[in-house]
Amino acid sequence: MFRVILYTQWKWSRIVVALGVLVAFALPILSVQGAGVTDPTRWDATRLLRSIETWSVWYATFALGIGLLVATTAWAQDHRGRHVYALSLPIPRWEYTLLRFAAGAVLLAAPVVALWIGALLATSLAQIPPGLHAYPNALALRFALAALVAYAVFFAVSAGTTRTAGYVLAVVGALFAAEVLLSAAGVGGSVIEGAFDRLVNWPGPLEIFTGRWMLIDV
Amino acid sequence: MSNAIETRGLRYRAGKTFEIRDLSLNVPAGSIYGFLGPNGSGKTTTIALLMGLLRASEGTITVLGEPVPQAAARVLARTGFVPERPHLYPTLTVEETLRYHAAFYSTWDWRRADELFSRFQLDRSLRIGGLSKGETGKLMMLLALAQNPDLLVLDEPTDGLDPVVRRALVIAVLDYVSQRDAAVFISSHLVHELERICDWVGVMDDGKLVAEMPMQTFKSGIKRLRVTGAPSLVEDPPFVLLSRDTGETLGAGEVWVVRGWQSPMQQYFEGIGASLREVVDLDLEEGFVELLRTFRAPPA
Amino acid sequence: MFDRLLHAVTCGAAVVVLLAGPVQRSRLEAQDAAPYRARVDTLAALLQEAREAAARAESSRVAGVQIDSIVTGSLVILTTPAERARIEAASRRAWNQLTVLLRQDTESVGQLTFYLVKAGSREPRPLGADTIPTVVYSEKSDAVDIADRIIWRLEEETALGLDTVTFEWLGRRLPLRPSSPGELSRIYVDLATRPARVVRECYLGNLGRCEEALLVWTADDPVIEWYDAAERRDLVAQLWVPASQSSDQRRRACLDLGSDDACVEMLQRHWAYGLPPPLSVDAQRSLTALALELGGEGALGRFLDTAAADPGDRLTASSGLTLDSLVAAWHSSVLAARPPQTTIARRLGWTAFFWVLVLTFIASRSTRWRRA
Repeated sequence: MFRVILYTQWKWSRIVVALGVLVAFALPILSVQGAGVTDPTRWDATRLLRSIETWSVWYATFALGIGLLVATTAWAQDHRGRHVYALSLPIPRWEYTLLRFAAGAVLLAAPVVALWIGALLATSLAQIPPGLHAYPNALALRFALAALVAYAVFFAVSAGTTRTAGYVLAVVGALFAAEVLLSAAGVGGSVIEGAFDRLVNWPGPLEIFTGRWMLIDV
Repeated sequence: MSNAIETRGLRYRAGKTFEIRDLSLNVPAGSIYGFLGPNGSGKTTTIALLMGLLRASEGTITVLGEPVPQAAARVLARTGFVPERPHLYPTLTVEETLRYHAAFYSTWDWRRADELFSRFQLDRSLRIGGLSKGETGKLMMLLALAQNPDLLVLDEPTDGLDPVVRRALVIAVLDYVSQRDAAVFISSHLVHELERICDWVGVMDDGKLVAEMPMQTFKSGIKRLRVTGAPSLVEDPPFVLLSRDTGETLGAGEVWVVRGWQSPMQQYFEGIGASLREVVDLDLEEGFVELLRTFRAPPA
Repeated sequence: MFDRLLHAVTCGAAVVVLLAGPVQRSRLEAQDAAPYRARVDTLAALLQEAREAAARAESSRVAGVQIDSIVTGSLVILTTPAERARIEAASRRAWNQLTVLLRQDTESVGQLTFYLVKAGSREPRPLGADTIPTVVYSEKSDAVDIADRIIWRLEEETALGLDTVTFEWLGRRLPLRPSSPGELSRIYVDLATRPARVVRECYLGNLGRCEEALLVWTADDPVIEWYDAAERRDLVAQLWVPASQSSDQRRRACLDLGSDDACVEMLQRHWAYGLPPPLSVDAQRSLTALALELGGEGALGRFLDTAAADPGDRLTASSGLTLDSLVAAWHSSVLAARPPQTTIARRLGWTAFFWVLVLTFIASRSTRWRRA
């Protein structure tokens, strides 16, 4: 059963996964090339680190994007058929959902492995200045966790009904409305900022997206 | 288990104006049950309730001896379901769809699938989204039959198809039933199509079950009578008088449509000073129309 | 109009001088020195007259310039009336920071009057503003940015009161504010990555080598004491020197034959062509900022007033600590500012995993009740 679910999901998201693999493989190599590590000016490790740091945001964005795309493609066909086919199959809804989730997670492994290989290759080709170290494994692990969290977030939202999506939107809208009202009333503090802080700081779900996404670091 | 499907006091509100009310169905095991009703009468909604796709606000549903929706997965494993609208994944090919579908059914019969495949002359490499309406109908029927179900639930399976395909599908269903003692619950508004294959009939209108009886009873019990000399007011007839047309255009007396007619009832007319000139059997469609006319007529 | 006049007069005078030179030189060959000197004097007088005319024109123009002065505590800001609101907020902010930073030392920094001007402004400088330190800000600058620029300028002005050695040692700016975590992080990266033996040993906790790396005292032979042989070879590889037979030979001996003597000789000879300091000037500034912070009340005054020209003496005087203790504190603060580790903390990993489980559970509760 899992095999056919995996097959269908692969068929639906193979372009996304294939592009993801390409980007994941290229990203570490480009980041190291961009930082000029292959021909280092050994006296300016700070500049090198800064250059590597500018790529951090791309890793995080990529993890978010690939998670979003794989999650939405997992459900797109069922949404299109109003879930009638899925619901008429002789399998409990929770089991069907878990199978779809697992299939997406397996597909996400492809870009993760590509990123890991790309990172290993990039760092093995680079001349890393003394005092700095390569972290291909840590970067790949962080990417894997971030992509999985992003995938889980969007998968959970997609698995819900239109009404659920409406509730999520309503909460976001309410936050914006509260922000505008508080601002108009001259009350200090930002609701959106507060909510965002909760999401990205421990124990928020998006904490993994913060921190250092450094392939080369001290 | 005497009934393949049984519902009691089912209630479901869909939207602001439409409601299924107090629906109590009995589909006998091994029967072919025709579920009739005009468009919008609630047939598809009822089927969605039976398959556990919708949740009734009141009442109970038992399918193949299992409660629905609690045991929906077990019920669906033994039920071949063809929904009103095609629901398969349009990006998969026919072959991929077969493999996908088969993986969910332990009772899947590849030999039957292959046999139906040849009979329906489908192309395995075509994408579902590229199939014609007839091909899609055939494929859905194939999927339902190849899983060796104890119950077939077919929601307007031949709607919009050409006569050749319709015939092929009906034959496939009858073949299956002849080989296996399965119940078939088939909904349609094409009354004449069900007339020849169903042994039970249920009629829905405006969310209510108007009638449910063996097909034979339905067909033989509804008659058109030509009567002359009847008084304007008739009391306590032994049959149900569905309609009485005194139309002068007919010339030769009144036309009565009655239900529950039996031959000995002819004596009733002598008792009221009238004369019965002719008894005409109505086909299912005429009976269906008369039934609905009676049901919809405002109470006297 | 006045701008153009001013430029025209100045340029005209310059052109006269430039053209007069070659013309006079050709005549010089045929004449004696006295008449030539007389001509030069005449031209100089003409130039002086032109300058005075330009200055008079400028004076008459700036006399009409309206300038607001904003006084916040001891901080005096001169600016145009149009910018008053924005500058006032910045001035308040800057003064609040300065009172916290300097405490009783506001007098030590001396000049607290600044002329603030927007970049690209065509407004003339007001009369008397030539001697006032200028702070240039941009159109997009907010109060925070402008306050920051004021303090930065004050740091530069304050450094001017130092002896030349300390002035250069600090990179011409005396830090009045404590080093930010970001600055300390960058110094950590420097400390951990600079390919110099002296820095490596400092990183490992040899405080004497830290003092050397911070240039608190000068090494007898930096080429030998700061770098090891491999580092010297790398330095030579990056060193640009004017091509000559001897330098090419030494370069080959150093790089191709691996002669350390040749490397040392090369670096010692061509010191001016780029032997880099072991640490960046930011490290020296962070040490100074720490000394001022630890010294508490009057620390800045002590740093500025010390008669000694040696940065080490100033640091000990201001911090009230021995140089070793101060450098030890600096070393600790820099090591504590290590950037967050790239490796994933176990807690972070488990938190992410926990959320994946929670979200999967939420997804698995996905209802089957949908409108068919």
